[in-house]
Amino acid sequence: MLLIIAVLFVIFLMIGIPVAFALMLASIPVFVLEGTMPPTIAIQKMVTALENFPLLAVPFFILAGNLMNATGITERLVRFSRLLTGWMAGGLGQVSIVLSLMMGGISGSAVADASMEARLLGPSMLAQGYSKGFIAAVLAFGSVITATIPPAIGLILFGFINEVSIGRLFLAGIIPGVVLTAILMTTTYIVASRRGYVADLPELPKARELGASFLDSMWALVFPVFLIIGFRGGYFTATEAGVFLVFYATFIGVVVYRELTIPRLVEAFRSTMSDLGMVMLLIMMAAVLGYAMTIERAPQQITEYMTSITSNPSLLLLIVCGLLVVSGMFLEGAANILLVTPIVMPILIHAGFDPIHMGILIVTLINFGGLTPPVGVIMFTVCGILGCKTGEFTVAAIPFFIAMLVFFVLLAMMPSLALYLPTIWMG
Amino acid sequence: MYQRIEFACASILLAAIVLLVGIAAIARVSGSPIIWSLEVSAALFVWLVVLAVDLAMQNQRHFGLSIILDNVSDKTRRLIQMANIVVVMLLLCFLLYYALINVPLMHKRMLGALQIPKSYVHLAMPVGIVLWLRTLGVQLFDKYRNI
Repeated sequence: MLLIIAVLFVIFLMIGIPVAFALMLASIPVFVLEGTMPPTIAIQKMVTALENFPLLAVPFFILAGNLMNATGITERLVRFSRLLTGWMAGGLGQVSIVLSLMMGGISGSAVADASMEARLLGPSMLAQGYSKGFIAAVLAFGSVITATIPPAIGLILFGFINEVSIGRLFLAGIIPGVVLTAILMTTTYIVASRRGYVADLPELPKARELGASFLDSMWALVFPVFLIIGFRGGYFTATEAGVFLVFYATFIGVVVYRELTIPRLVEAFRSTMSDLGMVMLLIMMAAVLGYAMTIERAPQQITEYMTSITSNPSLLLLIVCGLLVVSGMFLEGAANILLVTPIVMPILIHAGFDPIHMGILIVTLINFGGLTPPVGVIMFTVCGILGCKTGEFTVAAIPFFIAMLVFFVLLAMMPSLALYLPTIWMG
Repeated sequence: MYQRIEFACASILLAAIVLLVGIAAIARVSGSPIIWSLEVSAALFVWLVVLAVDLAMQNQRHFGLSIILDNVSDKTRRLIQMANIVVVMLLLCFLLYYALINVPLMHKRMLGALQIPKSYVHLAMPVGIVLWLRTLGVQLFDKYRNI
């Protein structure tokens, strides 16, 4: 039966049926053929999947991100990152990486971040003579940072589906996000120096200019700090933090920057609905498939099978990582987290890994899959916007692939990178 | 017009949920928790989601793979896309039948704190599926006309 589900899913996927419906189509045989479960259960599972309080964090953070964009905070962050790093070699490349780190507190999804930056920074990078492949590679790889910085939607979904504390995941993502930023900036520096890409700014910024720009964009930068204090003190849950961020963004847009107009507000709601509908349909359908898999005892069977191959934890982790990168190539981040992580997490926990540590590793790995030719989604998005060929991207991305591997090895070998903050702040 | 009403309803629901969770959080911190806030916001959320799914569908946001679709002629691609829509519509008709059966089943179950029948929440499913079918029907018709 498991095989039928898998084969059906792949067939429906290949002919271009939307992923969410392909999930549902693949799980119907379990209800119809087995005969023990009436299909009404499937409907009930779809509803109960939604009646879940922690899941409300998803619409809140999506709305908050769209509102933040509508307040004009993005332009201010671009200005600030430009002053901060524009004077380095490969200036605009560095700017885009730092911007991803700072936007993490706002946009929360790697694909969204990459496409925003490709539109915003791509043209000026081209004008300064950077090759298309290099631009696409810097923007695509930088966007992965977004997936680790709170409030990343991927981390919320991971916490929800694997029953791991979302607050802890948020804290755990911060240090790896900063480390990844440093690694990618170093790589950009080396590549840009070799290629002779000039700095964006002629000289170091004046302290006063930098200070003024920092104050101007401070409202976006301090938000993750609020989040951390809130979680640490137990003042709010992840869901309530989402609401808080919505109010916060509205306040900044209306009172501080005064750029949030009614048409912009409507536009923010419109994109929120679209994003929300896309993610939630996946969640509903994945809940049905998840239920069907539980009836079929799929997680146990897969765990048994994997542990029969090897009982060496490091080797298991390596196999799982490979699997995640491959599925990350084909499916978008949210679909992957909802589908694949419930299958692999029992194996990893069984092998003695920490769920929070694994959460950060898995979410970044899945996004890394989105960067890999021939079919990564982030790669496609960026290359599509810039008009860059996949081949060009691949060649230019080689140094970044190496940098990413270094990062994954570091993160896998040193759980404390992820676990330090949640342990000292949440016990 | 139809889409505007749908979008307005969804926006009101989302704003209502934001306010409700916000007020409940303040009430809890100040020591007088609102016991029904959780289940009401979750119930409203179910209705919000079926509308949002439909809005996303109108914007073609439910992505699939395009490996095969990218490598065939224009006409074949349209035909495959139409076939896909028909498959999804058949799936939705199947689900609609069971979603309708499900509503009366849920009528006797109550939401814990307010004693409202759960059928009001589960009613969102058949209503939503009908909306989705309408959107897909329109898309199928458009594709058929442009073939």
